[in-house]
Amino acid sequence: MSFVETHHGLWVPLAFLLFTCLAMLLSYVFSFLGRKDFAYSKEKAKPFISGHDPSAYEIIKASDYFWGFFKSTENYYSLTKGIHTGLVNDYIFWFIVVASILLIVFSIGVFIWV
Amino acid sequence: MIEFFSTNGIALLIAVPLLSAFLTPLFEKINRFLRNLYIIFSVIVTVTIGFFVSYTIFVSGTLVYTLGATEPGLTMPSGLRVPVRIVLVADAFSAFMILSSSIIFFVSTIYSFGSIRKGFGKYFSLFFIMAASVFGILCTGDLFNLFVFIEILSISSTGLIAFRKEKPLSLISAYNYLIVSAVASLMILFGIGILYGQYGMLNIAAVSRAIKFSFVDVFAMVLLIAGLAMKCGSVPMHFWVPDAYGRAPSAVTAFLVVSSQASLYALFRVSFMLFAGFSLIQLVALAIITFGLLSMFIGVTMALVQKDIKRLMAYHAVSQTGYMLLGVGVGLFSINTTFYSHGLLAMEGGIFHIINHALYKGLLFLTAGAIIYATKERDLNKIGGIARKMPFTTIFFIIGAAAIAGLPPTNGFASKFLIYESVFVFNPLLSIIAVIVSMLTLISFVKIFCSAFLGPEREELKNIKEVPKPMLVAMSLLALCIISFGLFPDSVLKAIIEPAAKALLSQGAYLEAVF
Repeated sequence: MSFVETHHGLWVPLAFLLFTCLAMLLSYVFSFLGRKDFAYSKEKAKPFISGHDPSAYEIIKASDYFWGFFKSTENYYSLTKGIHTGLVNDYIFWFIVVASILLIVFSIGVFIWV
Repeated sequence: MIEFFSTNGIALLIAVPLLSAFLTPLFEKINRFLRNLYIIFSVIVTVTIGFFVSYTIFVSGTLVYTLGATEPGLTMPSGLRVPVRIVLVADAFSAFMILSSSIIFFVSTIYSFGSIRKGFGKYFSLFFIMAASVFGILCTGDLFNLFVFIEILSISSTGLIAFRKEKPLSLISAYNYLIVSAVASLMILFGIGILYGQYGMLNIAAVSRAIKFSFVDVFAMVLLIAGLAMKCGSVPMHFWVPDAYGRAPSAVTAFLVVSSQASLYALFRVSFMLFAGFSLIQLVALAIITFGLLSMFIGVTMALVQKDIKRLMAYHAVSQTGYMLLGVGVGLFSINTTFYSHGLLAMEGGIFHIINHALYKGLLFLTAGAIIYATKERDLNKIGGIARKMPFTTIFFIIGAAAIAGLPPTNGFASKFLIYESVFVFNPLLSIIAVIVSMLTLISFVKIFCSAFLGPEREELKNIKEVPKPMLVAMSLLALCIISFGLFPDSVLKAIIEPAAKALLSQGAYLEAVF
């Protein structure tokens, strides 16, 4: 059987697939053990949004996702978005910054350790 | 016949697409059908040569081809102590990259037949030049030709990014890419010039034997590393990536991923071949690891806030490049240390991630292209419920998204598993960051899936339909590769990854082949 071995673990994809199929089969079987009289069409199966009309929330746009995460990371994003200016001058500026840092670090390294 | 190809294969790998680039417009003048037939024929020949060259290298070892010599293997005619001619050298690491590039080249061509509607001849001329330059970077054995192929790649890529010239953003992106590439290439040339001034030679193997690691060499090293890191889209020099990947036609974007990986190859080749003997090599490795960490984290967090589907995926490409840099950086750090075996494993993970990334990122860009093709819309806020009308694209997207997020049993999980487990020994924090980045990747793709594919049908998207067959065939081929690489990772590891990692780590075989 195909597997990947590291120094700490083993990964056997086919075994994973086999167990996943088995779990799905079991969950499918369990679903038949539930109540037969449950009516999906009735109100109790519909979404409940704190008493609001669910149809108003029918379309959730991509930018609505994870708003809480973005709210809490506002500072981080104001910094990173600020760096992404779209100006080619800034692109080159960052190249110069990186090249300068590398040069300083390696120069110090050469003078100290070599 | 087989002997002819095994001897001349690496030269033909560059020559065939280059010739096709110039013949395609001529065939277009004659007849469109003939042109299409010629394109298909050239691509099949190029890819077959690519596969054959890779196979030959994995079976028989490093291939060398000296241009202009009486025999292809004659790198040094009598009386010479160093190679002076243009020498093409391809070891197992090059073979691995050739294989990866050939697959994406083939798939992108098929996809282009469905997605490109006008300017077919010009498009394929540039596409062939781009392919020739990628194969050139992977096969060149000397520094100056490395620069030449990087330049050719930049120019052809610029043409293809600006291919939809009626769209102003395409032109701006192409302009930005051109400027960034020109600066990076100039710095690379400057670095190469310094090494040439010092040692009077350009052959990589010859320079690696002669290099003394003086302060001037260190300056050259910085220019080469920074220039190549910019070309492969490493943070904080990644700004061109969302512009270029986002605006190029999707088949080109898939191949742009491979072209960035060719720059990554050059970065690894230069680091391992020229500077592996440097006493501060661990500092170089730390620089690569830092690039990797920054790319992983900033790439994925910037992807999360994007609304443009292709820009979002482009930021993920930056993030995934981080994994490769991390894995190979740890491998470079481990040379001559006690955790060498873990370093080798990290490197195998990083290298495995290169081909996996080419496959799943290629597939994701193609699905993005399919969505844009069908809906004429790239803003995720304006797309919704398309799974009903585009079932095949949806399935391919799920496969690609699962792979990039590293969900088992896809190929992305196999390579990330190797990276997590080996990098953990180097520093647990790095593995933790890598896992968090994977989780954020999954979150980001859940956002695309829920917003674009699920949800109620949008009024304005009621008449969309599934994309043409060539596009579906191209996506299905990549999906098939992802599944098979995921289910049988050990075969891939043993056949191509392990030899590639060992070739990169040991300079001996490379030097022996040249001298």
